[in-house]
Amino acid sequence: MNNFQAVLAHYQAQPTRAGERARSAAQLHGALYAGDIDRSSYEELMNDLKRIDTVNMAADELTDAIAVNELIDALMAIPLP
Amino acid sequence: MASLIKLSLATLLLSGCSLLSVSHFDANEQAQIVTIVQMSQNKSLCEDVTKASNISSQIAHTTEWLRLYSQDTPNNGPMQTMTKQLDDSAQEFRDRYSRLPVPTRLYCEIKLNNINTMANTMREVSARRPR
Repeated sequence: MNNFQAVLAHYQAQPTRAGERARSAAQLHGALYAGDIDRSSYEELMNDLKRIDTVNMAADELTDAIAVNELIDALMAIPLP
Repeated sequence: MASLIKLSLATLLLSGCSLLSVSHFDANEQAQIVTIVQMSQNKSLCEDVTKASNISSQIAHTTEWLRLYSQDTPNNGPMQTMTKQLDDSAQEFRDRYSRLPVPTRLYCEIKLNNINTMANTMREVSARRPR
């Protein structure tokens, strides 16, 4: 088994965002070899999977910032002893 | 209680000042994101090349508006990152329908799914921003 096949098998089985992207990548690869999409479309859609990851990371960053700000507000709302 | 306050201060120091600067909920931004989510939901449009071409133009027009709008909002770094990725993808979608060969139905369906995935992630996090 090639290294990429082992990585694919590992992530494909995971019910995570990474697993979802791995399954999408495998689907695209299959579509290219089946002739359902051309090379140019394949590259564009594969690149989209990287964009989705960038969006996920930015969303996580914003989620963390919102949560910490809410924590700060909650701490500040506690009456001093 | 003291340890909780220390923990929160340590988190702030480790994470940097960017944590403090979160842009507030923006109804204009949210409305456009929801519009993009709606437009990218209907995969059956891909059965008809004219309809697919039209929706690609409408989505690209809206994502361009969103990217330009988000650039001018202060403390909006993560949203600016997300709107750029979404717009780059949507512009490619429109460009592909403006030239030959016409893309396949499968391309259209996967592209709409990718755009919908990005827009939905943005919709969820954008809605949680402070009012």
